[in-house]
Amino acid sequence: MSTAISPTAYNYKVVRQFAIMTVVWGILGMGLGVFIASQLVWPQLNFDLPWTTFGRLRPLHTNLVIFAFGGCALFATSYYVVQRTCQTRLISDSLAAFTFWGWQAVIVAAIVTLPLGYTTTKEYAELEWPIAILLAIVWVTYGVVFFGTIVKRKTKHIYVGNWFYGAFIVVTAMLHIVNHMSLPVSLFKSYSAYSGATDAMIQWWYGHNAVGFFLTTGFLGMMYYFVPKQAERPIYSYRLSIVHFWALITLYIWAGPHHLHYTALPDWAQSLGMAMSIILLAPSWGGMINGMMTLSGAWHKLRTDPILRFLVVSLAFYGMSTFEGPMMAIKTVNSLSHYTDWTIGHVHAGALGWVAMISIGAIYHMIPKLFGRQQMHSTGLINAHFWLATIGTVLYIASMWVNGITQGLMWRAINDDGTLTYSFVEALQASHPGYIVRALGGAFFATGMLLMAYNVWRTVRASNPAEAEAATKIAVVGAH
Amino acid sequence: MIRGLGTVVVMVAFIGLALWVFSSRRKSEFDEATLLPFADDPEAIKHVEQAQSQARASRSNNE
Repeated sequence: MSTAISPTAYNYKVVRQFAIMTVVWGILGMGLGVFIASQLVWPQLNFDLPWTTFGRLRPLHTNLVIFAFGGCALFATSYYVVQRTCQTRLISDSLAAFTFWGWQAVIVAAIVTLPLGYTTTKEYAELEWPIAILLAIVWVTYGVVFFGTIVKRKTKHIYVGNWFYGAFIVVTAMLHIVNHMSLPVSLFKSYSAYSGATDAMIQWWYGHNAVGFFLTTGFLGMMYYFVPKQAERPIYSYRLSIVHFWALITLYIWAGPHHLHYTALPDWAQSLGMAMSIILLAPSWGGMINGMMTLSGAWHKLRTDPILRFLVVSLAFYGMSTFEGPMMAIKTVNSLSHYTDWTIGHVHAGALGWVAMISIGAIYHMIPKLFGRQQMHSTGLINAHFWLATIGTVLYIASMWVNGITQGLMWRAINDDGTLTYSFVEALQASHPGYIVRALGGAFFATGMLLMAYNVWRTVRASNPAEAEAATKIAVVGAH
Repeated sequence: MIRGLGTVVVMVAFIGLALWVFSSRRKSEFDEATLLPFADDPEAIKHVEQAQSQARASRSNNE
């Protein structure tokens, strides 16, 4: 280490805060998901109140799980990984604290405004302009803290995980700012700066890359640190990880038009989006194989380590949903799957199976280290959580496949005279059993989060301030 | 014309990237970088380096 005056401890305070809030928002967001899934089974649960209707709570669910749960997991792990792989403290404790409180403020504002019906109506970008501006300020600060820390790193190399986190931060800022360009007409009402098909194209450029960069690239950063670390084996191929990075970020940005097949979007743009989505399979699977093969020769560790199992099974779901995605982007397949529950199933294969499971694994890995404990309070509970999460995800996606294909086939069925064979309500009735299974699967998954909360609480409570303080010390070994 | 050019530029970039990445001159850099998750953790780096030297030993025994 250099002899210049340098801080000797990591900033774990902000990591702890974000890690704990990941669990809290996870329970709230997934609990709300179970509630709106139940509304589709029992419509009476809408309570005939405007604030509790499916239409207002569904965007709150997506905002809570993506930005509150997923966002906090990304903040926590990126701050942890960037400090540890750069062997230095975050450049500014106050800016880091600002990102924490600012991010929580955005989430609370979402919880207040969305049920009240304030919305831009753009999917995953519903938050009205004052909140969107706050979000942009917090995000730029996040970028300053993250890249500033990389600049003052003590190591020669920038570890590949940080490349993924960096791309996720930069591209998310770009997407958010461009898509939110709008003209405010009052404090809580604005109109998009774009119109017609252009507006739709910008929205789905944003929307698909919210998946591609927020829910994929950031979590791949997580994967590149936590899978090797938990398995105590370096990543299978560092070379492949570099090819993976450049190929993924080059291709993802073009895939958005597949959300607009058979719409007013020009046909060439639809075909381009489809072709790019299919090519995207290559880098996605390259990354998945790189993570999986890290375990090669050490598969036995999965038998005893449920944290590693979370991480590896998340990669399996990632591989599955990144195969399913390109397939659904093919126009002929999309003509069957679009607007059906298949899409919702696909999203949740990624959201529950990949995003949530890798986050949960990473949080279980980090919590003991952040609080100076040897391990989590109970490994048995982690194992129970793993099975609840896996069974819940499988129930969810299987029921949505059945529903989606049923709906797609019923909607397109026509009689000899050209009239529709089924009315919409008949297809809805046919979906009822699937909705029950989906709500059940979601409940399994959310129950697992309650076990996690208890386990985290017991682990944190067992830690004393001296242990927690000692854990933050930067211990550098070797000549790195 | 301009579309074809885009394809060529991306292809050249990809081939260039592959050549750069798989050049044997980068090997030592990558071997170092790949250990970064363990470098600040005395316990972990010990285990990883032990496993690596064991793997090397068994490979040379097999040959």
